[in-house]
Amino acid sequence: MLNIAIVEDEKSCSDIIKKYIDRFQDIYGESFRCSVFSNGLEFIDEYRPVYDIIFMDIKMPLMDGMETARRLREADTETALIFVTNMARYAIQGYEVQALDFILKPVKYDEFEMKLKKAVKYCLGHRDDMIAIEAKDMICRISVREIMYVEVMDHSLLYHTPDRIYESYGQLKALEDKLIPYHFARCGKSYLVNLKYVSEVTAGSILVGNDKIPLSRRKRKEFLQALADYMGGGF
Amino acid sequence: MIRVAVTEDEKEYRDKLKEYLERYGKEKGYTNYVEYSDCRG
Repeated sequence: MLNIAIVEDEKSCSDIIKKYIDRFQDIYGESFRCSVFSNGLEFIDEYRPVYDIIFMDIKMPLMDGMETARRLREADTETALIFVTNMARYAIQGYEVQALDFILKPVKYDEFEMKLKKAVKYCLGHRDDMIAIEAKDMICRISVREIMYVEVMDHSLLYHTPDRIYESYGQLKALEDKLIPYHFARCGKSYLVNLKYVSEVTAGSILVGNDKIPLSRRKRKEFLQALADYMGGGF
Repeated sequence: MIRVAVTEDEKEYRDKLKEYLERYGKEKGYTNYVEYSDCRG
């Protein structure tokens, strides 16, 4: 079951999209749950990262689709976003907000089917790699591949990604159990590191991205073993 | 490029890393293999 959100102020258009989704389900046997929002503000105001695919109009009252998408990406970097618009010139700016694609209005079924197939394929390929982080003011969803390392600080977990740091409550041990299959390893009491970002190991530290992280003497052999397993193992 | 310094008693990891990097390093995006330097872990 995939969750779809339609963010569209014109009811006639959201009805057509819903009809096309039903038709797609009948043809391909996929199962979708649909939610409709009549403007960007209503959608983003209490956003929770539960949607796999979002069809978003660009021209809407209160908050346009592009601004809604910018705010969406602060909380959810992985959901498949497809703009549905008659404003082609804006749709091509979709790369700014990592849009997967765009559909021009009036929406035709053949084009819709092609784009929805692409989105379904994207979702099924990414599903297992997602992690929900309960940050202080929102719940975010990010791909584990984006996490460079996780640090414990004052009872908080800091998730370091190339773009930003997410802060949440939680225990590193519980997270470690979840992330070990994704080639993460402990290099000390307070750090869990994604091995693919490690570029240097010295006597007492490792380099992850541009950050130097302490490597404890106790964890050193275990860490080297994990690094060797990663090098020689699956991708 | 990945740079890993190992001690004499960590030779087994050095050998493993060397072998794997030569075999799989390129596919994993590394452009060079391990550099060795003796360090006191």
